[in-house]
Amino acid sequence: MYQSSAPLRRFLLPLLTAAVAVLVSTSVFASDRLQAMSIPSTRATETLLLDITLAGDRVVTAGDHGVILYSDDQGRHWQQADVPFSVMLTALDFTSSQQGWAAGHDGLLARTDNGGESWLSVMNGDDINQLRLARLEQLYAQMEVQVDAQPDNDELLDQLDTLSFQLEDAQIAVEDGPAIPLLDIWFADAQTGYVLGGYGLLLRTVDGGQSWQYWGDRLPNPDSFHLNSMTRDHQGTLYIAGEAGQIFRSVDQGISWELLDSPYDGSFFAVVSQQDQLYLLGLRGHLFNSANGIDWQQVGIDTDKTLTAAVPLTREMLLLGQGGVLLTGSEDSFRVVDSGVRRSFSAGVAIGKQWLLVGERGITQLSAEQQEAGRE
Amino acid sequence: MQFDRSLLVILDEQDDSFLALRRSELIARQLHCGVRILWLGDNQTKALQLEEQLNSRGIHAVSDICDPRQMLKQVRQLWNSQHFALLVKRCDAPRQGFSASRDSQLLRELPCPVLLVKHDQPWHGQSTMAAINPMAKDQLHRQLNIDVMSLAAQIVRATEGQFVAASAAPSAMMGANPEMQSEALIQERVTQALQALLSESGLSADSFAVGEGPAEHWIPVAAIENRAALVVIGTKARSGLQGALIGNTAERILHRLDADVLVVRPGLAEAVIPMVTE
Amino acid sequence: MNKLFQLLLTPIKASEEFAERFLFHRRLLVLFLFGLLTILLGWQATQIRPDASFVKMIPTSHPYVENYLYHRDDLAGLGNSVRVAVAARDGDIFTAEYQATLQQITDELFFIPGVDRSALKSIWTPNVRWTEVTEEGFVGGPVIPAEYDGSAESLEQVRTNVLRSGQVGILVANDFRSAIVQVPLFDKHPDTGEKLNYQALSEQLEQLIRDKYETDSISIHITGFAKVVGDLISGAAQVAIFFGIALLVTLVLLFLYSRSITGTLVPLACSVVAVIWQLGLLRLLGYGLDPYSMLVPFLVFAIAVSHGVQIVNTIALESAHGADRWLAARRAFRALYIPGLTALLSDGIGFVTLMVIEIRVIQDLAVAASLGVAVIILTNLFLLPVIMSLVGIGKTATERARRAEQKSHSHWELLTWFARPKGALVAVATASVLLAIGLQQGQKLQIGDLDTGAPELRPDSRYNLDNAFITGNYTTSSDIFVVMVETEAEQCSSFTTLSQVDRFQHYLTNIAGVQSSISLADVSKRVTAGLNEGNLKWRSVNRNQLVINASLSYVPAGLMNASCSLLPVIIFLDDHKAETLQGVTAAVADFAAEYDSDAIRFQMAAGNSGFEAATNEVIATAQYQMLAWVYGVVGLLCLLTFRSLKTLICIITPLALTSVLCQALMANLGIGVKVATLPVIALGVGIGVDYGIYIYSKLNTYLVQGMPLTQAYLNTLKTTGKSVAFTGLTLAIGVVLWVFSPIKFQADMGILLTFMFLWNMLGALLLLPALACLLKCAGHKQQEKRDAEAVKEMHDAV
Repeated sequence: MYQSSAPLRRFLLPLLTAAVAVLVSTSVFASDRLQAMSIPSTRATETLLLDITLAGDRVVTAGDHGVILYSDDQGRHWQQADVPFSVMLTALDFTSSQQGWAAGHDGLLARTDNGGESWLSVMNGDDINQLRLARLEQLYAQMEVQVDAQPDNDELLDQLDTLSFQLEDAQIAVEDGPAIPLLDIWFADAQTGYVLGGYGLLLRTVDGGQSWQYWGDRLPNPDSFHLNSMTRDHQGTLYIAGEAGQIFRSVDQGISWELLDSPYDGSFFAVVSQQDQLYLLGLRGHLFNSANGIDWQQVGIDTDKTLTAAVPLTREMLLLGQGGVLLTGSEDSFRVVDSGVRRSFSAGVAIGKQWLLVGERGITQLSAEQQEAGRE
Repeated sequence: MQFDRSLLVILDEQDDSFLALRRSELIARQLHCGVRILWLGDNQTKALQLEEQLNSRGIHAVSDICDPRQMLKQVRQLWNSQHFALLVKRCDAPRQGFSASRDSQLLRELPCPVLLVKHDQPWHGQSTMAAINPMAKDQLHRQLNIDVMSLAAQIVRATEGQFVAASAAPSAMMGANPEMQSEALIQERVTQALQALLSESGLSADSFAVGEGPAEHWIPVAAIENRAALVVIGTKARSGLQGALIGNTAERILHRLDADVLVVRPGLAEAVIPMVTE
Repeated sequence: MNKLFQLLLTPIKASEEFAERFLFHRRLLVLFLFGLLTILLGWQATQIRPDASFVKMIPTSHPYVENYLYHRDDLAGLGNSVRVAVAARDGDIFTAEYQATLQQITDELFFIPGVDRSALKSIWTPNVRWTEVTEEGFVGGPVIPAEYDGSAESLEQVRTNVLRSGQVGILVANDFRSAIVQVPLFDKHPDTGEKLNYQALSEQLEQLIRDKYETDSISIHITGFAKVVGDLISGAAQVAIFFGIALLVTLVLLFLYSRSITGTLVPLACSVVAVIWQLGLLRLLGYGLDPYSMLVPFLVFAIAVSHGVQIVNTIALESAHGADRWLAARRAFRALYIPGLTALLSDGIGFVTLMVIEIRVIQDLAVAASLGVAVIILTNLFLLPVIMSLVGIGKTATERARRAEQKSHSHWELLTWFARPKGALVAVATASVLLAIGLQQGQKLQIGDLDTGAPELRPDSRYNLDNAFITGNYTTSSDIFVVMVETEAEQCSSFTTLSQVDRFQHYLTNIAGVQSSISLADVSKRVTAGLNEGNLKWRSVNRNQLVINASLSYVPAGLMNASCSLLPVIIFLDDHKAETLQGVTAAVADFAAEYDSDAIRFQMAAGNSGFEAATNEVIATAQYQMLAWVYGVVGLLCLLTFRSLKTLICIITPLALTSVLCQALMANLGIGVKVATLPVIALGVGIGVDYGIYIYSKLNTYLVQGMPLTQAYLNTLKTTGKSVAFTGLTLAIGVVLWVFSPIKFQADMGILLTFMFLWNMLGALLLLPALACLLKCAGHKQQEKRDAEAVKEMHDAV
């Protein structure tokens, strides 16, 4: 009867399945998500997607479970890329139509040389932890020398103390493993680029990504707030915005950074430069703009939902955020537009006459004309 | 066991009971045996009167009275003490009901042969029918069959009548052995068995009456067709629960017959045969 | 060999002697006893109650179900539940009237017995909360705020809360025009231990909720297994009406056929008595009526009528030969004893073999059916002749029978063509072709449900319309498949576990039929994002165990167990069609094969779709097992009775053809093989074998007398064949009317039964003699020789 065949079934079937699975190329081989291949899926366009960008005429988007999709026909059809890891990817940036970068959880940094069709892991959290440890050890050694030279300088002693705590944290982090989420990537040009992450993580490369330095110590971020977004204004000043209202700026191409006075103590999720204006998008419908990056004015908008990203259009800008909120406008005048979507957006791109927005429900395609028409 | 060559006649108030008396008289005269009258009731006078009547006709008779409710006990006592050869009684009218009728009780409880009288025509020159089931296999049944036939043969000789051997063939039963599925075949088999049994016992019948049963249906029909005056039949005398549930074929048949019925228990025909053969 | 058969036959014959004598000499006693029993059992029968149970429908020794039962206590609310959708006909749910109604309905449902109160969910229950992230951190609260007062501001607040509670698509419709109250039920009350009364529950739902609250502005929609069962039970009255119609049709046709009042009323009365006894005995043994076994009483009736008509017909024939009522009844009893007993015993034992299938509902059905058939032996083989012996068949019927016998020509002669070699070949060839077609069509037969919703009810039934409403407006379907992830103690929330479960859920999105899934990993991901101001970029299982622990400080019930060794992954499917379930189970098995280790095991399955998957697997093997057993038993008994392999072939082949064609019919009608429909074919065998046995027995009596086959066949047709044809047609006509039943299950069964009655009849009348002809021609001499030998043995014994 049934029971007698059950043990056989339990034994035989898994064996057969395992054998078959090994033969099949796209097998879901069991391992850590940093090494497990991303699963090809017919419903990948519905995955939680967090960033979307252009690589020449191609649109590339990335998100949870290592899903990276690309489209060459402005979003009508999508293909899934070959991705040898399955962590959540949070940011994309392409330096050319072929070369691009992706960053995500567990400190994963990956690159592509064929326009996003296949990717290779370049660095993970363990590597980052090592970079940070090395840097802090270096700083600590330097500080020790200075303290030795000036043993009565209290300020230096305080700094040494702070460094020793940071060093301890870095050592613990190395033991804990690759636990840092990366939150943004930004390349100034093909050579110089930055990676931002949680707990004040900042990395910098000047050789096109072949080597990366730990740069977090350059930021005056003693509380290790998360760094969320980076941009450059029309004058070449670099800005980093983050948790708890932190805004940093660098006027020397990122070598040194200063903390600016913040107009808000809630988190900023994006800092954007459009024409001559800078904008800060933040928690609970807080939008600020500034002409100089120092003086910020709040822009009144008709929503209290968190704004997470901005999409530059020809004349205006698209702001998007939680709960599917969508606004268009510029400077200090923005209107709420009905996106017809209730799920949160994380990023967007305008291509042709389409707006491709990504977020909780995967890819949402809106027609720019319809939205314009709807407005009037 | 020594049997007393006498008849026990049971009589009561009812008119028809005199059939029994007359039949006993006929038998006693033929066989030169005594008659004991058992009167049910307390009419001693009547009993004595009947005793006188028989004595006056040259038949040695004695009489007794007995409480109708004690009939069975009394008869049993008499049997134990005196071993009469045959019990003669008028056949009671059929009575439906749970408990056995008086006649049934007699047939079951008493070991003696019983003659239930239904008419008073003499048997002389008439047919006597022996009703048996030749298909029965067990020894008891076979012996009973032989007893019945022997007795019938003796009576035929004594009454100078015809001996009819009758059997009811069971109805066809679908799905049984092939030979049990056709009525014609069954009757053929039964006839053959009947003949075999007769020849084994060294008897021969004047005619055979084999027809489709059950016995309760066929035997009375055969009795009418053959104008039998007497039907001799054996009984297994089932009593108790079996008797209540299944009953005895003999008891069933006797109600449908117009002829006298002589019911024989296994092994006790010996008592009657000697009486008859002389 | 013959000796062996004799040995087996003797007790049957001995029993016949005893039975015959007892029945016909103690008729009043018999009637009294039967009457007494009928009253007692009838009283018991009136007390029989519907006895549906969720667990009875699932195969309890299937590994999936065993896994579920092992973890049953940790999986509250995933077994049995009902969903009540309250919809606003105009406008949306954010009006004071609507909310007031929803509140009242939630309260009403709270108090219905059988409801698991702690797990009751609607936007008005305190366990449904909204959360949001502010500058200060997490804030949250119940969706309906404490200060709700029905004002416009309150309603706005509720709207906001609903949006941030994540319940849109789950407890609130995607279009905001309806809301659901999710009502989990106790199959067995944890304190009192009493079983859930489905009928009472369904009635209460109708009276207290639908009737009370459905108005011009509010509509109510209810779905869930308990409601299906409740609707079926309520539909029992309808079912009974259709039974009644079939009974009436049988009454009328039987009278027209026999022209005898007693010959009509008595067999029908005895058949009804058989049903009463069956129901009474079931009650006595502690069984109830399962809505899926509602067929059985009718089947008992049908089989009883077949046998009854045979006996009455034989009595008519005997009467025509001059027997009085007592004699005719007695002879008929004797004549039909063996075939009747064999047929009923093979039915009964055949049905008992259904017990091998490890699904309670089917085992109960096996008991009910075999009890019913055993009872028929008493009511129709014993009681019926006794009653007929008292009332007789009537002069008209006797006259008709006499005239029919004396007729020299009859229409039946046309059919004798099939008993001749040429006709036989044609018949057998046609049968072979049909067999081939049937086998090929039968391959399309699907296991499990082929449509969405409840296939036992019509697509336009209230239930199915409600189900369509809910699946159309909500994201979470009612087809739930739960994978139980077992880990070491306290490891269910470790990073490794959660990241593997997360991957599993992503893997599932690629499987056809999977709508979405939810697990502890989702809770961790969302709360982690929430702790980071709702930032989607943080919505991942964090590698840092401390962060994970913080995210799981509040876990909704049902997503992990107390010792943190079990986490269920609740998968919502698009439907519960058989192929969907097969795809899902195969996919999960593949994943488990790769990922299972000492630390983590992906076990199937719970949830109604999980059970259905298990059931489908069991049924796939069971349907062949079942047929093997039934045919085995029936074949063996026929062999014992008729002691001939050729006879066996003649009787079984038409039955096999019917079974194959019935499967093909099911495939073509879109009826899937499920727990409810599985036994139908086996039951059909039971009905059909009766015809074959009677016809063959009668045919044999003529053959044994030396008649040539054609003439024997003609005589058989004129007698037994007539009864078989009549019975088959009458029952078919009675049952075909079921097509109009509002219960689709009954309508489907009606079609299948009509087909089986008719086809069994045709097979017994046409195919059986054709086979006999072909086989007889081959082995005629051999059989003759054996018969002659047997007769000789008999002679020698005497």
